[in-house]
Amino acid sequence: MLQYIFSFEFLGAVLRMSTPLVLVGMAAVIGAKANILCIAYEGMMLFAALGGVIGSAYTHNLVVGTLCGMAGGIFIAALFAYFVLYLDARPLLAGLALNTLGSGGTVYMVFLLTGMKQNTSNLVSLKFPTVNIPGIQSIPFLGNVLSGHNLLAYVAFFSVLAVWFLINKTRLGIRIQAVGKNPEAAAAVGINVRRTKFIAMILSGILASLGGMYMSMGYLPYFTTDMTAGRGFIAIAAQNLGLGNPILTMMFAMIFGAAMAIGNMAQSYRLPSQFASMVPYLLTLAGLILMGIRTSAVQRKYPHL
Amino acid sequence: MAESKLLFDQIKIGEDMLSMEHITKIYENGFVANSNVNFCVRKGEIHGLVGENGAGKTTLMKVLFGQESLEEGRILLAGQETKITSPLDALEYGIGMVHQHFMLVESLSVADNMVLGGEPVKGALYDRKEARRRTLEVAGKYELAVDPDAIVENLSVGYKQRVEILKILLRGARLLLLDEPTAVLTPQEIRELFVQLKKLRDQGFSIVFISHKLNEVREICDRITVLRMGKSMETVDVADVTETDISRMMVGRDVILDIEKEPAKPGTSVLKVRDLTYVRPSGKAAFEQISFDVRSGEILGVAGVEGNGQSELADVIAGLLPIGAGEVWVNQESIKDKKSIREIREMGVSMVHEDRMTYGVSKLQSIKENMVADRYYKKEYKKHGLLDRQKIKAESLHHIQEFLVKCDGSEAAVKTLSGGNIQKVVAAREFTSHPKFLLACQPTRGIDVGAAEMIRKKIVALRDEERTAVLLFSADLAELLSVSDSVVVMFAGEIVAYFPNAKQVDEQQLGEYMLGLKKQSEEEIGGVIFE
Amino acid sequence: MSSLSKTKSIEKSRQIEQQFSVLRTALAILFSLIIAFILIATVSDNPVRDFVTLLIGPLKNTSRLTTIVSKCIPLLFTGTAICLVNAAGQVNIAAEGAFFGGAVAATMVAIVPGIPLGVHIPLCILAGAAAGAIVMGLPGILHVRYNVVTIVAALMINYVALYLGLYIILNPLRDPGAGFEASFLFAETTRLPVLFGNERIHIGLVLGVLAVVAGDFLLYRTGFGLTARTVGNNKKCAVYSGMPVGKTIIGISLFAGCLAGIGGTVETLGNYQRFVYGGFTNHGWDGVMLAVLCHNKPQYMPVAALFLAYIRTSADALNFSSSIPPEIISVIQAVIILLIAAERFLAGWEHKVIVRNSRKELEVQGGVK
Repeated sequence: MLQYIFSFEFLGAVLRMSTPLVLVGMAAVIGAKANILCIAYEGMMLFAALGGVIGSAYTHNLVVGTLCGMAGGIFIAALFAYFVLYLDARPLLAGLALNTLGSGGTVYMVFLLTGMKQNTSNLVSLKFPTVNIPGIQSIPFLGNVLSGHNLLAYVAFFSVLAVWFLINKTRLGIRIQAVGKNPEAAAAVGINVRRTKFIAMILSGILASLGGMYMSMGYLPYFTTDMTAGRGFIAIAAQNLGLGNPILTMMFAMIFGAAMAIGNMAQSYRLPSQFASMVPYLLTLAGLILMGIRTSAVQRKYPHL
Repeated sequence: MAESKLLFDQIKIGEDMLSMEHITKIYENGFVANSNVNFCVRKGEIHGLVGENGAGKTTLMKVLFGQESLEEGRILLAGQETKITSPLDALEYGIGMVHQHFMLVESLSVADNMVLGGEPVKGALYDRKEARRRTLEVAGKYELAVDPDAIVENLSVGYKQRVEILKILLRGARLLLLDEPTAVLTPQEIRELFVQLKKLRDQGFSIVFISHKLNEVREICDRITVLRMGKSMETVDVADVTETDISRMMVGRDVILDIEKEPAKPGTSVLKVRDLTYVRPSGKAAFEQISFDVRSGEILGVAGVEGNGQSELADVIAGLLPIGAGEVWVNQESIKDKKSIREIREMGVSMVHEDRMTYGVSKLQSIKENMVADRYYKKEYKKHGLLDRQKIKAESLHHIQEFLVKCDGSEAAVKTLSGGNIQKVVAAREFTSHPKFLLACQPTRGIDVGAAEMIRKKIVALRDEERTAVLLFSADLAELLSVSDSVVVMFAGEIVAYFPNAKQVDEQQLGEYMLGLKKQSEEEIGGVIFE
Repeated sequence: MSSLSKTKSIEKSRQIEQQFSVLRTALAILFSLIIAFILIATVSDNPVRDFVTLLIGPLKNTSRLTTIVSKCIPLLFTGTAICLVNAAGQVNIAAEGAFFGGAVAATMVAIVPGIPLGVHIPLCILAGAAAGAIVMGLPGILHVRYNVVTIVAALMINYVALYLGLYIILNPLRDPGAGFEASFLFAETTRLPVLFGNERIHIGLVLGVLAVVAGDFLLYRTGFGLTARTVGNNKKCAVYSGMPVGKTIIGISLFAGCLAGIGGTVETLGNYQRFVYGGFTNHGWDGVMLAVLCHNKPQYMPVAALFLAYIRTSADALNFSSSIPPEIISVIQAVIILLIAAERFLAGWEHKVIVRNSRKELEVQGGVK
């Protein structure tokens, strides 16, 4: 088994599991920078996953399919942002409602379009292609590491850079940081706090959509009920541990992806997979406790001040 | 709107650039914050706005800065009547404010904060280089050195303040309002700030320096306007007055309250405070080496301009803040080993916090539940393990009558009550537990005359009927001098005076101690300790 | 304004607030039904008939009525549990994991043969309560001792409880003889007694009602409950009044966890012969929604739980009669929660009415200033 962990197949498996986690992790990073407590990523992912499948199945065009998927994810993100920012809904409840909507709404739509209830396997939808980089793929060791992965895996990696860039090097990013850390100061200089947060949520939605679409157009070639299986929450855990930093979040997302890959593999070795599945959550709890211990004893005794 | 900035530049140094005339501001609850206030600032001067807390300084500035509307009066900028509707509006007219709580984004750099809201872009990217350049340009122009790349959260408080000042200068402010700027600075930083302010003044800027620290005001200001109880008293040239004169204008009683009161017959010490010290998380001590006694059947008043450690002292005695060093005893029992406020209260301590909405009541809950919040867990209030609802209701109805709480029944939520009635609910709870020691902080702040009168009467009644030792913190001198039997004065975290008989206190004198102009001898101050 | 008229005006404002609160809930339900109708119309060949099924299908026969009650039982537990922690100001959504954990713990005890009849069931319930208390109590403890954000800790522990529970069921407790992935059979002695001679309504119903009553009593009739509610309404005031904040938060999390755990126990033992869950049952999440509907007051929980159980049964009926997926209910649920949670929904209108009312009062007084 140890041999497997150091093989290229394992690397491939890790990337397969990590790709959606990294993408949604980046979505969570943006949300966190804007100081929005969003748990609605499951809903965004599901809508995007289904949207992509439907779009690509009916138009046989990957680009259109991708756009449809994004529309689905952005729809959920926009609903969330509107209800929380403009109608003062409590973020937890809005997130819960939209996750519920995502889960049930997608099943409903699958039924509407295919007459089936479990999955869209009778639709011929497209997949994101595997990318074999010419030139690199022939390099003995590196070739296998760098080439031959799904397109979205590369997109995920670039998204980390893109998010880092957005937050630190663009005007929008600076404003997102400002409204997240000190909305009063931002408002005092004329920044429209609500609108900036809204835009941040839409960007979040785009990234989460990509993560969702990977599930139905890469990981699997079709949409299945509740196929995200909590990945949205694992991504939130990664962002928590990563303290909102894109690079750290990616690192934790990949650690969690590796844990999931080990979990899958464990089943074929007839070992219980549940302990591997627990890893992201236990790690986050441990991390939170450690952070809590670091606050001084006095601060903990008088937290009400 | 840009025209007025040019107007500011056209008038000559020495002419009036801002004139606030007959400003009257009344809040919704009827509280008169500003009454017929006149205030004008010349170009190229540092003008001090002086007065105690509650005198109306903050309100006046909020009106100027567009954060509050006015009932009466007008604002003239460079001679032209102007309506200022928001802080952004004020800034466009050339008025910039540096608040006590800085408006900075801690995780960003100085340059980022400087250009926030008007960030330069190069194509799609944020042009940080240009932000840096602008920062250095303005820093050089006004000789306020800053490092554009420094991250704000790592900076000292004085440095952050410098950034705030530069920020409004960058946006074209000509009139700078500084709200208690030295409250958070070290002495060295205060020196530096004064140098910078004088330089700005010499360049033709006008600065309003809001403060109650007389020595600083005298040092840096050209003229000062004194506010007291919402009215403007006088505007004088600093050169023409002494600190004593200023303190006389600031501190005084406009009303003499006559509370019928027998002379006190104090017993033994109930509260003993020895060498008490509390250091704030920022490292600065709020108060140091405080020692005093309060005896049973006596009301000891604490006078002092707010911000000299009184709030922290009250919170430490209440158990809300940890003791830094020193001891506090209530009837020979130390509160240091008490693990919770409940244990302190069980020693016979009652407490009225100055912030009643935050600490005094839970406004969404009923009057009934608020009134028993300190005692519901005791045996007497339980019946078969559950709350004895009948007893609680009966008791609260009794209190409602006795304290004349105007309400819709004991089930009504506290938030439906007026301020005075809310304070009566607090009083009903805290005064009826037969306290051996009562800690009362600003018990009548912001409430109507009738309620205030009743609460004062009740405090005196506690002193007489229950022999309660009372420690009274009040910013209302009239109240303090008429309710207290004796008075101590706090300044800069220390006790600087003790007057055993409040009836014999000359408030001119009191003002001088409150403002740090005088200090009694060790012996005289030691009079408040009864071993 | 004279003080008497001010009191009257405040009273009227309060009435207006209450009226709008009811209006918001009613509109939320109405909107969701409209959307449901639209959705049904797109997949059904007879939308009106199907919509009617949605509305009154559950009343059609005894079997369906029984289903309503049966579905209502677990909700009583989780809904009350969330009401309790919400009242203390804690966003502790670990009721899901507590429910699941309770079911697992009960299974562990239930498959042990040879325990006498009167003892076995209470033992299972005890085990379920203990497991639930641990799951829901942990986020509370972490919050009080280590300042951990409760909602994140609760989210995480849900999954830890899930996977730990699944491990236990699918490994040491797994019955190799069963044709599918499930635990060993529960002992005969753990069959819950039934009510009304109806096999599907077990004493869990009684326990559920007891849970609601206990929750209500705890919050409104005990000192502990008064402390909890004060902590939830104004923590600083609770501290200043001397209330033991930390102990109360932990206590109420543990108690709520017990209720959720017992819910899991009772649902499993009452309806199944073995542990059959493969994942979350969503009862915990439903509890969050129900607590919102009840404004965190357990006394309204039976109505709310029946309402949710009712529309779930409608969904089943719809599915049965025209193959429409029952998940359509999720859409209804989502819309209702969203609209109720949106506090500024209709806020503009509400404000106008309050202002108009205040003006009228002033006029009666004799002129506006």
